[in-house]
Amino acid sequence: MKTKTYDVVIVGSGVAGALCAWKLAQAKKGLSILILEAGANDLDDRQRAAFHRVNMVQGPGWRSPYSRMASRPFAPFPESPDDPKKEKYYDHGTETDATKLFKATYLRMTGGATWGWRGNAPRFLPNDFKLNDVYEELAAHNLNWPLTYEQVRADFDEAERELGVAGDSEAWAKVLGHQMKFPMPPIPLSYGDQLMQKAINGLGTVAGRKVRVISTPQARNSVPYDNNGQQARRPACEGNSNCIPLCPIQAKYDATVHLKLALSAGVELRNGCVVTKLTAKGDGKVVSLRYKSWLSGKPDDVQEVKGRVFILAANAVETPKILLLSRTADAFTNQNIGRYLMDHVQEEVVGIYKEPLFPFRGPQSTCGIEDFRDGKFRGHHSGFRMTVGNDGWGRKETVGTTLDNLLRTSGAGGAFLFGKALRQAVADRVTRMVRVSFSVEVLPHEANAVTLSDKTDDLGILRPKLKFNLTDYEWKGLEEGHKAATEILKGVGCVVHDEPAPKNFNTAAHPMGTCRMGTDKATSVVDADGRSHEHANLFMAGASVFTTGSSANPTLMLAALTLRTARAVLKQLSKP
Amino acid sequence: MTPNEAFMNVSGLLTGVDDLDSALGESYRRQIEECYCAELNDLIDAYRKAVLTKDPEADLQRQLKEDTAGRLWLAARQVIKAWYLSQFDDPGDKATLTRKAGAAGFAPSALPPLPGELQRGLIWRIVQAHPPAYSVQPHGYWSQKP
Repeated sequence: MKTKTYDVVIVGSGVAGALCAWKLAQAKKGLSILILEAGANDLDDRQRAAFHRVNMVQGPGWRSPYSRMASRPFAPFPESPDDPKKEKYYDHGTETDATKLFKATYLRMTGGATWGWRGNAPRFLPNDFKLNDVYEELAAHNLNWPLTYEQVRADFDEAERELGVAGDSEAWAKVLGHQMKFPMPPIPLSYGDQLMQKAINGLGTVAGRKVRVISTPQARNSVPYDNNGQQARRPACEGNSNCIPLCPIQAKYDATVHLKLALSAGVELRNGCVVTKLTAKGDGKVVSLRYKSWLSGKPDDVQEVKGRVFILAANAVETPKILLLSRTADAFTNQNIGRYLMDHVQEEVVGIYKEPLFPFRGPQSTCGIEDFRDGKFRGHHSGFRMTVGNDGWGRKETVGTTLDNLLRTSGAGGAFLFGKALRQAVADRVTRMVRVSFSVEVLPHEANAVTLSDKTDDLGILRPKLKFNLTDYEWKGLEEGHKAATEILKGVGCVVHDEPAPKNFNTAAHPMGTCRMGTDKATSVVDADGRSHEHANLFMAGASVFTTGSSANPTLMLAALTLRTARAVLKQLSKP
Repeated sequence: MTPNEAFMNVSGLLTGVDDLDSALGESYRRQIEECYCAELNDLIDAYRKAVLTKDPEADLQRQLKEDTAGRLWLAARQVIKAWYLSQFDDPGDKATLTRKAGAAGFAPSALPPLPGELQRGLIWRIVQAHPPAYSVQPHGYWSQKP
């Protein structure tokens, strides 16, 4: 039997894969497009409701409603909180120092990691594309993108329409230096954020810089939204305060929006397929892809798919892993594959405000400070984006931990807080909790990389091995972020906790780099369209192609770049 | 006083909330007995003694302080956590505890909660918010003072 050759084979059904599939199917009817997805879950309201119910009964160690999915052994969450005996998926080698571990995780799910994202969608800044041109102190690094902000600007506009971004056009015109209009008006600031905004703006300067709290652009509906009739109508946010792990009403965008559009346009989706290898011909064209299907009942069987164009849209860990698994003497030889791994490293400073802010009502964050993302300092330390949280102390202390701490008062044998005194203490503390977080840019360092482990996963596929180490540039950025956040909270009259500067960091769960974009194959893997320098019919989509990581959340940027890639793929398909 | 009446009474004193739901209380009592059976009985006994005094709250506090082994504290803490957050701490293999024969612990699958338990956690109404993922208010409510 003759094997079908697809026009396009896409690996991964997250934002990049789903959006790309939809734009291709929309642009050219009749294209045969296949998406291979490692996870396996439904996309409908019943699936959302099922996740919602699981969330309701989660117990100790159950960090998300997705923990019990059948795909977990085969499409592992990198850290396995539900099975402490099992070895973690990431191989960190002999490294045990928590400050030298790559901590960013992702979800292997149909629809990708947007099942569990916060929805923040700020743009990269114009200077983010040309750090070498602006900051001569950074000359030792290769940081210029092969694109300018102006070249991507229209794609940002379109990406904002596709994802449905609500934002304050006037405030962001000042940030970006040009007029703009978001598709939706901004998400209202929470009551507490309004108090914080007024107090922080009243400070004037922080760490020598004028600061303003402004609404964060969010892929979350402030009005019912259907992108001018091109998508199913989704409702306005009801403030369920549960953006992570799950928006129960899908007011927040997730990639199932575009995946469903793509499927309705005839795109084929195969779930439960973990890719093991690409194969290229002598002329450099990629001809086929192999995968194992854990849903087939025969996970040892290797299936093959042929295609005219291949798009790797897994993520910045799995995409290079697939390429490295495929490496031969003649193919996938680019030495930059896997290198320049990035994340945003984060910390937060927390405090108790002088009056109730009433957190846990509305989106988990509605506003932030953009003033530390760029400036002369960037020649010497990372820029950072700050968020004023609407979720108490965020990751630092949950409501449950607060209660635990109050109930621990003096412990057994001592005074125990209960009754009306407990009730008052809870109300007094929780309603006044506030955090200011900072998300710090990590420069692309060659040594930070994904390579192949000699250990295998449950399908017998080599696992990724990760190396990640911050330099003084990023540590100084963390220190400055901590200083600024502390100055802000103290300045507005908070009692600030955890004052020592951070010696460790949290992850923003933004894996980026590893197949970076550039003009020179000696220093990059793909060109400005996401096309492999080495294989003309192979494209990468997603944050793996980022040349640098900025301090902005990556989803809008990767969506904008995916729109470029889709256009390039269409051109490629028009060639004989 | 039935076991549930006693549990409801001690719950009211511990939580500081008077209008507790007795059906929810029945569910919580059964779940707490799974792992803290003897400790809960001790706590209810302590409550029965306390209500005979002029100041039950002060007397219960006294008994909690005098219980240096922490058995009353453990049960009281769990009763409060159940009502405030619908949360149950599995004590694990602590030898001091009297796990009910055959009880596996607080595995959610073994003890499915009543519908709506999480939503009715007292903490959310005390802080004038709502349980995460369960808002029943219109868009933008969060911009107003509760």
